[in-house]
Amino acid sequence: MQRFLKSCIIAVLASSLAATAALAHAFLDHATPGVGTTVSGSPSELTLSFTQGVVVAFSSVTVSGTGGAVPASKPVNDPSNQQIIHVRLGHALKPGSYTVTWHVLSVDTHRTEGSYHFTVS
Amino acid sequence: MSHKTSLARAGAFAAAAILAGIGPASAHTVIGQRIFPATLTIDDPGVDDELALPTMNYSYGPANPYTFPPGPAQQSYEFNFFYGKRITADLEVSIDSTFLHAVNPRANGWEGIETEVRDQIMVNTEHEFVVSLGVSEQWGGTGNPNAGAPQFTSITPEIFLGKGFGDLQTEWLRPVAFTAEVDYQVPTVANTVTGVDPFGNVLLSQNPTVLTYGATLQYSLQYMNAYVHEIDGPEILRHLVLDIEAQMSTNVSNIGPSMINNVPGTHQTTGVVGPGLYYLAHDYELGIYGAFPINQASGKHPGVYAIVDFFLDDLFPNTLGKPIFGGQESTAFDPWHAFNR
Repeated sequence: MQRFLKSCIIAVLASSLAATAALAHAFLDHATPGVGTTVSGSPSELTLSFTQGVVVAFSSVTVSGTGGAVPASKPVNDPSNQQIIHVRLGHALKPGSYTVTWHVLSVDTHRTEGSYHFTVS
Repeated sequence: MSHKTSLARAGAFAAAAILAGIGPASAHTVIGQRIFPATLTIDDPGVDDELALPTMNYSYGPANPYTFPPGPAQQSYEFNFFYGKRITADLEVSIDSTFLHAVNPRANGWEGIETEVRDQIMVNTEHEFVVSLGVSEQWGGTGNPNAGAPQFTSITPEIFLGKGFGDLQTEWLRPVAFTAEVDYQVPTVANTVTGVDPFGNVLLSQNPTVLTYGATLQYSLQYMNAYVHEIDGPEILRHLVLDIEAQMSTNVSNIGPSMINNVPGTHQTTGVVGPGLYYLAHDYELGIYGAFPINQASGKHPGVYAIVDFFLDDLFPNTLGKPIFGGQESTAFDPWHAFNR
């Protein structure tokens, strides 16, 4: 039985290691400004980092505040990392709470979506 | 080994299997923003392409009822191997089997083959809501009787529910989710011949119908980080889901009499409750669960369950990991849209 248990453990560890390099759904890992955070002064752009590469041609990010939608550019991939996208804001944000809504297509063709808030003080 | 001893062992392991309370591992489920991880006491509520290699379970049962006075408690190690495949975005078929190694009494063997068909009948991504119906069959004669594998087939209708609370306004409640499962196992053979007494009478064992029910209450740090408030600190925290899980089994009908010293008695509800911890990586999941027996009939000491689960839809999105027919999007009935028109 001990041999069987050892075989199981080795197989599990080996396959776990093998799996880490593969693909996945794209979920938000972190953002700038951060999810749920308060920043002093308006950011000039949003940066969203996902758990997987994102196809920007089929992805969108919108920003809205109490005054309505905020003009923003289409998302572009970070030149060094396909998991990161940047969105330039059309004008400076006034103090207040803002909602970022994203829809992305991951490089493995899964669609995911989500939203979060941040505050400009 | 005598026939009587063999039957005693089979009975002991059947009891151990019930006490273990572990179902086959199943797919994690993604509904809108919510990831429902593959949990260890009950299945997650949806469908997916999934491979669990393996789900492991260590349990320490009650004192052995097949000796008098009752002997040392049964200790069992189970290794469940599971493969689930989506036919459409809402329909999944799966197959699994469990290898048992036990002491007091000692046994090694497969517990038989189980198959399942499951369909998501209601889905709402905005409210992170899913209901699924399933039917599983435990096929008789496909395992080792000494490991508790039944020689008759059982059919089990199942219902699954999942609800995430990301639609609430209260921020600290948004990472919370609830899942539940109710099964009703019906043997296709009401009685099993267990032997002949010294007077020539045939001895029968009744095969009861069994109601199994369980639930999980989850708190997802992954959800917290992605949608509510970013988590500062070690990267591992952004991938964790913590929960409390419980699962019970109660015999419902065709119940034989409880025998003296027979633990668990045939009329006793058995089950486990305890905390679970799951790590959601990009394309696999690791999980561990502490199983605390709810009464003496459910076990003598806490047990441990663990899972390594691979997300085939993420590992092989264009081959093994996609539905055979149709697209990736669910077309199940959406009660919110239907009633809010």
